[in-house]
Amino acid sequence: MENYRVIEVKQSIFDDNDKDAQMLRDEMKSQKTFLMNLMSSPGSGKTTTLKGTLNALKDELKIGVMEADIDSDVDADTISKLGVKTIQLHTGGMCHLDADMTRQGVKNLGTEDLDLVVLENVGNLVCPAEFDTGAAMNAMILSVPEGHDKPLKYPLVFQVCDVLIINKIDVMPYFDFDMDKVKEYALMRNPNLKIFPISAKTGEGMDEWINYLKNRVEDFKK
Amino acid sequence: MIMHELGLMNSMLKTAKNALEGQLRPEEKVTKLVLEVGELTGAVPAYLKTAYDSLKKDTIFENCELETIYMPGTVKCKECGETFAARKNNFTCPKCKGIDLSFVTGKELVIKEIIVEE
Repeated sequence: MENYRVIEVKQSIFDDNDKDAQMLRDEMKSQKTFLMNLMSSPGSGKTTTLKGTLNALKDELKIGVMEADIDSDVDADTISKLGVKTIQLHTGGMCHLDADMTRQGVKNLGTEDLDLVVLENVGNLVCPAEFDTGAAMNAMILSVPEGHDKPLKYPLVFQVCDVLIINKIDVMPYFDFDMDKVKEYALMRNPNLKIFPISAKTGEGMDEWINYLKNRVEDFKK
Repeated sequence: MIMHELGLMNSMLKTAKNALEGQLRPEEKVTKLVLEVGELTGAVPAYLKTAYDSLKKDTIFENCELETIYMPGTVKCKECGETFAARKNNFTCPKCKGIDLSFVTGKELVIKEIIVEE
C-alpha cells in the first residue's frame, strides 16, 4: 500500500461560485448598476413581461439586457428595437448561468453608464436557482397555466427570489389555479417574497410591478 | 439532464482545485474525491460521474475517481415535529398533513474529502 492521506474539505460545490457572485455584486454596487436576474419556465410570458417593463422604464432609466436562454423566446432583435442595449450570452450548453459567465456578459455589454441590467436566465426552475449570478435582485415569473403547486415542487427558486411575478392572470377563469394557495405556499418558502399578479398581455397589475422595480433601482443608486 | 450535471461538476472541480491549493505536495497525486449528493438536489449520481469523466481530462483530477455518497431527502414538519422522507410523502407530513417543513438532509452537494497518494 502506498502512502495516502485524506484531506478534509467539507465544502459545498457552490462555495466558489458564491464568492465570485459576491465579488461581482460588490463591483456592480460601486458602479451603481442594478443587476436583476430573471428566472422562469419556458413559456411563462417572459418576452411580453420584459417588453412591457422596458417600454415603461426606458425613458427614465438607462437599461441593458443580457439574453442567456439557450432556446430564447425573447428575440434579441425585438428588445433592441425598444432602444435598449442587448447582448446574447452563450452558456456553452449549460442549463444555468454562473457568476463567472455573468461577469463576462457584464463586460461585453459595457454597463458603466447603465442604471439597470436585466439578465434573462436560462428557462427552467431548477438549475438557475442553485447558482448565484451576483445579481442585486432575483425575480421569477410563474404563469397561471403552470399551476399553483409550483412553490411546493420547486422550493429553492422561491427561496432565492425577492420577487414573484404571477403572469397570465387574465386566463385564470380557464384554469384550476388558486391565487390564495400559490401565495400561501410561496410565502411559506420565503416570507419576504414580494408578489405581483399581472397580465403582461392586458397590462393589469403591470404598474405596481414597474413602480416597485423603479423604486428598487432608485434606492440602489442612492 | 446531463447538462445540469455538467454545470454542477464544473463548479465542483473549481471548488476542489481551490481547496487543494497549497495542500498538495509535489510528490502527491489526487486519487479520490468524495462527494455527498442529496436526493433533493435533482442531481443523478451516474450522470455526475459521466459529466465528471468528461471534464477531468488534462486537469489534476485526470486519474482521480469520483465517489458519491447518497444523502436521503429528509424533512421535519414545523407543525408537529415529525421527521419523514420528503419525496415518498410528497412533501406532506404523514402525521398531521402539514406542509410547512424544514430541511434536515438531502440538499447536499458537498465535497466531503479528497484522497491524495504519493
